[in-house]
Amino acid sequence: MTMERLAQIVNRVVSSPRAPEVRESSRFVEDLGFSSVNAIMLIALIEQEFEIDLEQHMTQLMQIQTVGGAADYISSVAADAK
Amino acid sequence: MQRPPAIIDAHCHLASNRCVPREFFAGVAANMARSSAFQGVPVSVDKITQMLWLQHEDHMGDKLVAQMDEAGIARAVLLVPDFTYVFKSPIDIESIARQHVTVRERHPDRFWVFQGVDPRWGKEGFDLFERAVTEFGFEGLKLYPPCGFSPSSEIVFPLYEICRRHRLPVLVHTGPTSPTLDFTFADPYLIDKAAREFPEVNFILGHGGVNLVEQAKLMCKYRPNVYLDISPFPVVLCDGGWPQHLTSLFAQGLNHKIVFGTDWPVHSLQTGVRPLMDELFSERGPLRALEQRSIDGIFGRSIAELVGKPYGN
Repeated sequence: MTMERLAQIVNRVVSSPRAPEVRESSRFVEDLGFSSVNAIMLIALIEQEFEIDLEQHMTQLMQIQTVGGAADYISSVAADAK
Repeated sequence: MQRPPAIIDAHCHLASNRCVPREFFAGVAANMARSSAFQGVPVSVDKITQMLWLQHEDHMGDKLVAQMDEAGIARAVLLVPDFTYVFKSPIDIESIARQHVTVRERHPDRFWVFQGVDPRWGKEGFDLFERAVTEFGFEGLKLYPPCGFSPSSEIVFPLYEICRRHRLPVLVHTGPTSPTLDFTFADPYLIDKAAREFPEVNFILGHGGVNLVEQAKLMCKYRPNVYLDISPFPVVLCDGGWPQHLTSLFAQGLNHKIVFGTDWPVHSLQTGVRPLMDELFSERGPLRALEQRSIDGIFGRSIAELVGKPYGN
């Protein structure tokens, strides 16, 4: 469920019509062409969509390479926040 | 093509928010906010500033060293710009210098340090710089003219005199930077008078292979003591991307004046350095037409010679 919601958000950030399909294994930089601005946009949208605060997780978030890795991390943050 | 005996990154920074005032990040955030809003996701400048701030917590250089190890980089020059005069920051430059001493002790033989001092601090700043050289063993001077001074202003000359006496290089920031600073002092030509007055001092135009490149190239070609670095090449504004830009730069007979740099953590915090190195040294990469002597020079030998250290494994 988290993965599906996250994929929709990633699709919104990567708005290019030539963007590849977003998969769990998709790497943000190498496969999706993420820039630093894209990363900022993604984090802001995740906070809105999942109603979580990621400020204290910046260091860990910047080390996540794939969409699936981000989904797992968000799930754990959301679970802790409940 | 062989990788050089020891790759040296001549331009990087500690990703520590204890070294950079918040106002610097706020300027960077202002540009990112415009871009994200254009792409349909408005994010406030304050929010982005905070995000950037929280990404810079590698106070002891552990993450940087891990990146270097992964990318095959033996050593790096840590540049310590002095923003404390222009931003009237609570951070003082001596504390920042001592933080870099601690980082060096924690990671022996991995870092050379170029200490920054805003020349408007006057004698207090000059004395601090000399102490950084004689007591801390730092290897060079870092200047950040967009803080509001020309690198050829005579107020800077006492710092160059210290560099001349101790045979130290000077790395001068060139090109646009955080919009909270003054770009008019970022022109590579502004180094001309200083380079002429201090022929025994070697000057490196920081980002000269990326920003205002035509001016930087001409300074390197016609001033024997002027060099340039190629940081942060991944974000160069070029139709064909950075590989094409570097291929062209390396084909102009200036390779004896060019040194490699990443500008870590700026622009590469997310990607990491290894993918960049792999692309640089790939068979079809921008080094494909270079002789080994040029590769060794750009990726290590030249910066080692500039700081007066032996080069090798």
